Amino acid sequence: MKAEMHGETWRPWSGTLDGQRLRCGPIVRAGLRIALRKKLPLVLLFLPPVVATIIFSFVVYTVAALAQGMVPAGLGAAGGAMGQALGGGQNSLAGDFVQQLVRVREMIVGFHLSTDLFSLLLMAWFGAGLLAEDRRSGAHLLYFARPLTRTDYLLGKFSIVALFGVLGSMLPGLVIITVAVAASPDWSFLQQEGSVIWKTLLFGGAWTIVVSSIVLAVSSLASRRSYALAGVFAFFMFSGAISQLLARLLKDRDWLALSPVQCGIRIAEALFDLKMPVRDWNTTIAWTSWALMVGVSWAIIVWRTRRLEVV
Amino acid sequence: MSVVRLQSVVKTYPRGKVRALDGLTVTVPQGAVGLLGPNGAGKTTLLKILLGLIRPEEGDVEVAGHKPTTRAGQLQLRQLVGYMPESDCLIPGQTGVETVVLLARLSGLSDKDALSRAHEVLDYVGLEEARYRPVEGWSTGMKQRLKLAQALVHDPQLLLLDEPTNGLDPAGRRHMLDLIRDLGHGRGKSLLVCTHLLADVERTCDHVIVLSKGRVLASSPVGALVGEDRRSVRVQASGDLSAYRQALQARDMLVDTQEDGSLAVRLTAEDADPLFEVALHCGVTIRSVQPQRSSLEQSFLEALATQEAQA
Repeated sequence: MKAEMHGETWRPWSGTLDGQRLRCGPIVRAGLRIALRKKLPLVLLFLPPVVATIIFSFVVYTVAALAQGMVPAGLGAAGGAMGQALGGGQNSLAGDFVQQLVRVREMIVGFHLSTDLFSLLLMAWFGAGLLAEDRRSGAHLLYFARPLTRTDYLLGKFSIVALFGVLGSMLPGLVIITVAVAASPDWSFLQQEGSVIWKTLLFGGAWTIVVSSIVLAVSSLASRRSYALAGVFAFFMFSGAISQLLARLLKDRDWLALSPVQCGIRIAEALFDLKMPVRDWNTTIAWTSWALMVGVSWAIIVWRTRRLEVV
Repeated sequence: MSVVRLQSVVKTYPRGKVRALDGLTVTVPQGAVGLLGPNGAGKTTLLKILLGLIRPEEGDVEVAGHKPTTRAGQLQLRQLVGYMPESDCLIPGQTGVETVVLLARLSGLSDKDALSRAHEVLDYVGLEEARYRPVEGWSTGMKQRLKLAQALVHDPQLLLLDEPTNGLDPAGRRHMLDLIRDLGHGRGKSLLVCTHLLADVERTCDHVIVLSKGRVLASSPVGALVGEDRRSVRVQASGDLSAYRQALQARDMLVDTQEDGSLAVRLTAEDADPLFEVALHCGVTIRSVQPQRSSLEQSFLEALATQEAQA
């Protein structure tokens, strides 16, 4: 391309620059635009949670509908068979209302734990390059020559990862709850199990914060996106394997707290009041472990970003 | 009037135990100013201190009326300063126009203004339809122009350009120098052009500051450094030039034969009479005697030699 100067297009800027605005917004928008540009990873990573949400919505609707003694319209014999498979005859389900709602809650928790793994994939895929690629491509030189604080920069990057966490974790859970509420007779699910809504928000939010922090910390340590991605998966796999190994060798299940995934399972069980004694270990240790992981991750992120800023 | 003022600034890099700036005191006037110096002179360190990216251990710094050593000062002055980094830097996954819009937003422009202003500066630097392509595939010359465009987008008072012609082919270099000259002389911007290419400074700047080992060796208008040197002359003569040359050297004059057959003579005083006396003695006819322009390079080398002699 021939290089030409077009002096005629130059005009002095006469507006005023906003000095107070929160500057993480443009970073979030730019990050999402880049993430949404490649369609294949979006389809591959979002398809499983979408399909799971649809299937679970159907199942939850069926169970809740059976609870009020009716088969959902259009299901016919298939719906009846499903009702049998889900736990006994239609009449017995209708007879034990509360127990049926508890089953819906348990299904929601099970759904949570499965979609959280998808959300981990989403956050790792879309978040691994956020800091690593900025360092590799020198983008930090452009960012920090602007009136941008480190807090703005990190808040922007964190929001991008967290948004994918919310889409993969919290949103499907809320969809399932909405279906359960709508399908249960006289809003009974909302009255009996209403607390599951804020518990879903709390658990989904905490999981998103933990995973986002770990992903960003690994990204800040890596020199390129692929290394960061490998690092995130290595961390989750090794921490899971080591925690299981130590728990068995030392016969102390508290060692499971070394794994963020095991902590998540334990916290979900405790938070949603599930009875699973096989996993029964100290919930406080699980919460403390999550808090420590977030603390250490942010210490690494802040340290590494300071080195990005001071170029 | 000055745009930058530094007083006894000291910056040491503890790892290499290098004193990058050694009590630097300098005032940068308005207009186009060249910052010259050999590798390791402290030029890039100085630019980073001016942006507040690194903090000096000692001394006082003021840029456009703000102190980059305080957080508030950094954020305010970065609205008034545009920075074109030396190294290759881009925001991965973005097109040229998206990059400039994002950085304009981070500087405080509104969405609408950022977009229109981005197109204006991209037109100005001559990036035509390429602005809609991802920057990863761009040539070095295009990336250099993009870096200049992003530095200009918020219409800063002061532009800090770090090696702006780095890696450019002759045509790209000429174009970049035209842009810099236009900004400094046609658009009324203050520029600090950091380079080790003396010809670039000679072509684009009005004032030059020579740095070496973290200190100012010279600071003066370019005209004063590249003006006529009455002791260096070019002599065109006919006759026995070999004998004439030997006779001049016998009188302690430095003589060099040029490609066109003329003699470059360094006189012992600002008096050309000895040239004619010797010519008469050797039977040589002098056709012309012209003072030679001393180049910036010569002044630069002389300043360095003086510093080394003092050391």
